[in-house]
Formats: sequence, C-alpha cells, structure tokens
Amino acid sequence: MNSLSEYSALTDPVLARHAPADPQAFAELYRRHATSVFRYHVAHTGSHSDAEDLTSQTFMAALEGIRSYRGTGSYVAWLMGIAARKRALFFRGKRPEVGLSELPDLPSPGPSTDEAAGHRIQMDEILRGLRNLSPDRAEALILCFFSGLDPAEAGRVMGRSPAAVKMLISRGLRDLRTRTAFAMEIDHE
Amino acid sequence: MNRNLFGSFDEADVARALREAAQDIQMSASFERQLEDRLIASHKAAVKPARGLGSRLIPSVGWALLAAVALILLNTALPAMVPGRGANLIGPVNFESAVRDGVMCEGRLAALHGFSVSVTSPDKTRLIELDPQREIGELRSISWSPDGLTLAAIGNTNGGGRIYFADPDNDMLSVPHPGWPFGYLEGLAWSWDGEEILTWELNNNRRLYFINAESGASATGALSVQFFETPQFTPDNQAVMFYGADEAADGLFQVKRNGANGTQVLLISDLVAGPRSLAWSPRGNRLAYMEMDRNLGEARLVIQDSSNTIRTVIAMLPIPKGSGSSLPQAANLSWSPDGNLLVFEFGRNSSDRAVHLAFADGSGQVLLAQSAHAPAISADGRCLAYINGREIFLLDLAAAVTPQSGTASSPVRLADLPAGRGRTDFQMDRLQWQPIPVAGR
Repeated sequence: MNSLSEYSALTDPVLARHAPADPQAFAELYRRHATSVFRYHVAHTGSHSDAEDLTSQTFMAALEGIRSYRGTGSYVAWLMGIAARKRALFFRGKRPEVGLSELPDLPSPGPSTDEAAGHRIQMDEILRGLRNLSPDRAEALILCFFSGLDPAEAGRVMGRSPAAVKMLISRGLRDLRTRTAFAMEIDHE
Repeated sequence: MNRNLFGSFDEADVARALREAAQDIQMSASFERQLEDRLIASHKAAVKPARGLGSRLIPSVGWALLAAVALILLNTALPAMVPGRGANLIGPVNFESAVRDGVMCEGRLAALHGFSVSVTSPDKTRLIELDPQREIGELRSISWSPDGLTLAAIGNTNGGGRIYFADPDNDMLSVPHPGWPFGYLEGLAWSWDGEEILTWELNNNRRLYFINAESGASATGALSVQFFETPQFTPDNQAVMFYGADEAADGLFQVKRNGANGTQVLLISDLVAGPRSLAWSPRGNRLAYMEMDRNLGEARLVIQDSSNTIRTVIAMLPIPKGSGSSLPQAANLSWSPDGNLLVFEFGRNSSDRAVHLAFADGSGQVLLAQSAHAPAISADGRCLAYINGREIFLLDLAAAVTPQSGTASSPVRLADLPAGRGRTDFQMDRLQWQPIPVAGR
C-alpha cells in the first residue's frame, strides 16, 4: 500500500484517473473535497443531519460515476454538479426550515456562551438571507463562498459563464446587504 | 445590544461574513471517518484489489523510455535509409500523436451533422453524441460561448424550439432557463462578452430575440431588413451583421441597436451574395467578407477595418461573368486566433467544394483540401478541421503551409461523422473548436 503522502501530492485529474481501480485514490479525493460538499449542503438545507445524508449520497454517486469524469475541467466542479443534483432531488416537495437547534456545531475550543449565541444568530440570519435570494444568486454565493469554487468552476456547475457567475455574486451580495437584517455584535477595541 | 448594522457595510463586508460563516461549518470527525470507511469498503466490494500507484508507474516509465529510444532511432536511421522522405515519415506521426495527447489542437471540436451534435472525446479518437437518446427532435446551430465553457445548441421538438447548453463534464444537454420556449428556431449566436444570446424563428426573419444568458430575460428586436442567416454581434455588441435584403438591395447589412430610437441600418456591401461569408477578426478590429463580382468575374475576399474606411482585397477566385450561370458559394469564413490567416470553403456542390486559406496581409492563398467543407481552425491556431465525405480530418496548419510552396501537409483522419438523425444538405454541416480565452482580448 502506498503512503498517503504520495496520493496527497497528486492532482485531482490524476487521482480521478486512478480512482476507478484504486480505493485510496478515491479516498484522497474524498478527503480533499468532503468539507466543500458538506458546507454546500448545510448552506442549502440549514440542517446538519440532512447535510450529512446528502454528503453521503453525493460521494456514493461520485464513486459509482467516477468513470464518467473525463478529466476535462475541474474535478470539484464535476463533484459539485453531483451535489447540486442531489440537493435538487432533496428539495422536491420540501420546504426546509432552519431552526437554531439545527445549526452546525462550532469547532472547539468553543466560544463563550454569549459569543456562541451571537455566532448562531449570525449563521441563522445568513442562511435565511440566502433563501431570500433568487435561486441562481444563492447558488453562486454558496458555491463560491461555502464550497470554495472559483467563478469558472461555479460556472461549470451552473452552466453559466464565469462573467455571469461574477455578476450573480455581485448582485447576490448586494441583495443580502439590502434585504436581510443581520444582527451582529461589533467588538470595539 | 444587537443592532442592524449590515446596511452600512459594503459588499466586501458581506463577503467576509459569508466566508467566516462557511469556516464555522465543519463535519464531525466521527461522521467524516465513518463515511470514508464506507466509501473504501464499497469501492473494494465493487472492484478487485488494485496495485498501488507506484507499482504501475515503474512499468509505465520503462515503456516511455523504450518508446523515446525508438523514436530517436527512427529519426536518425530512417532518413538515411529513405533519401528525401525522412521528414515526411516522421512528421505526420508526431502530429497525430500530439493531437491525441492534447498537446496540439487544444479544446474539444463540436460537430453538427444530420441534425445531431457531437463533441470529440478528450483523446480525440471519436465523437461523442450529445442527447444520444434523441429526446430532442432535431439539433441545429451550435455555438461555443466566448469563454469556451458552454456549447449552446438550438433544439426543436414538435415545432417548438429551445436553446440547450451542453455540460462539458458529462456531455449532456440541459435547458438553462425553462421559460425559454419559442417557435421553430433557426440559429443562435453569442455576444462577444458572453452575456447575451440572439436567436430567431423560422416564421419571422425580421425579428430577433436577445436573451440574457444569466437571467434568461429576453428582449425582442424588430428589423426593417430581412436576414437570410443567423446574424452575428459586432464586437461592441451594439449592432448585428448578416447577409440579408431590404426593398432596394441584398448584401451585407449592419443594423445598430439604438434602443428607444429604433435601429440604424447600414449596407456594408451589395456584392456579398450568400450566408456565412462574413467573419470578425478575433480582436474585433477587422471584418472579412467575400464579395461576388459578376461584372469582373471574380470572387474577392475583402478585409475592412472596424471604422469601415479601409478595404483591402487579400484573395481572389474566378467566377462566371454576367448573369445566368449559377454562382459558386463561399461559406464558413473564419480567422486564425492570431488574425494572420483566414480559411473558407468555396464551390458549387459538395464534390467541387474546396477549403482555401488566405494570408491576411495579402501575401498569398493556398488550396488546402479538395472535396472538403466546414473548415474550422483550432483555438491554438495549429490545426484545421474539415469534413470530407463522411469523415472529419485534421491538418497541421503551422507545419506545412507557406505562401511560396502553395502546398499543404498530409491530413490526419480524426473520426467518422456520426450518422445523425436525418439526411441534411452538406451546407448545414458545422465544425467549431472550443475557444480558449486569451488574456487581454
């Protein structure tokens, strides 16, 4: 068995080429992109448990379909396309609600109780704000800010040009600012 | 005390808030580990145990070294054994290998034939048909977006038309905006900035639809001139150009979009006599078009600067003088990415149609291929693709063509044309290379 460091030095397309026959190559791809996929699903569903289910579905589908990735274009864009389709299926006939109890856990060491409450309020407002946007603007923001894609990669997922994605991001940020009431505490130094 | 302060922040602050929120989202370590274990177990259950990467690399490296040695021997030994033919023996093999390996002719080649659309596989050994289940009645008029990320196509089913986008990662067609149904659509074209698509319906060749590629919002433009082909945007996206006709003349028209003031029509040339015989240079500073002058008996390839003030004839071909005889057609005029070459097809029918090349500085012209049509130059400027019969060929443009020799190198067969949904005239065939954006364009 080759060392994990050997796999970590390989690019996504090379790993994807070997992944159909090499489980560790696929595992390396999983380790690299699992957080991006998870954050994408949390941003859409607002639910930690739903996001875990969707993340599992996404990677199982990616494993089944790894041979269909032809190495043209970004692997993460291909993967996020699968995530987007899983998310679309999840939302058929479903209106997700975000409650504070569903918000993701914060990394430890945890903040103080007041700070934790502030963070949860902010997260709640952000996720609600995203759901108040047009679907395309929300999708562009989530892909780029939560999943870490660049506009070209997000454009591949959405079937749009990078210029169109940048415009969606700009307008989405403006909409978030003007339509959503964010309750934030400012630390004065 | 909490207060709403977000309204005073600019977009950068909103963006920072989103990034910070994203960083706060983490999977639990247990879930992450359990999912990884499940994936590995599923993978192993589905396939045989694989050799590690290293044990496959070593034999591959060995074969690569052997191949390199063999290539060196061929380069040195064979020219001595076969005088005068050494270079030709090695050149075509290298060109084909370079194409298959993606070193030359970067990007995918899209092909429209028989109401079906295909794109080359990454190794360019075959064509992959889009919509292989043929859920769409017919496909026509393909066009890559300027950034090369999207291949758009017109699809008509049961008399209704839609614009489809091809997903390059899974070769599937999708409808980006479900609210786009039109009547039977003829063609489409992208604006130079990739923000708009124009299209038109068969039953009205005086009306254009301008569709925002992002939002799907559409606007209609009514023209006083009939267009006989899908118009092209001008580089400033403020006008469209096409072969068409008004009450007074037919020829190459430019129609400006003046918003509330309507449109402004300009007849560029009344000697342009057919569709697909105009092309803007890649930088948008020169316009090329083919004129058919029956009085002088010549077809002229003209280059005009964007201010419409300076015209230069860079190539000529003979045509019948006077009226009565049928005119050959010039079509699929296109530029090389560096703006130094133009290619076009010329002829009456598929058997006498040939692909020609002209140097933009007027230094010469070359007959590249006979019985050929639908020429297209790759984004790296190295390859010319064209159709001959039922096959697609590639020609190494950079290696062989010189104005002095007037000869071309041997072409390489790329693939068979897919069968398509139905029989169509060869004039509906199209080849289009995927653009690769150039910085500073």
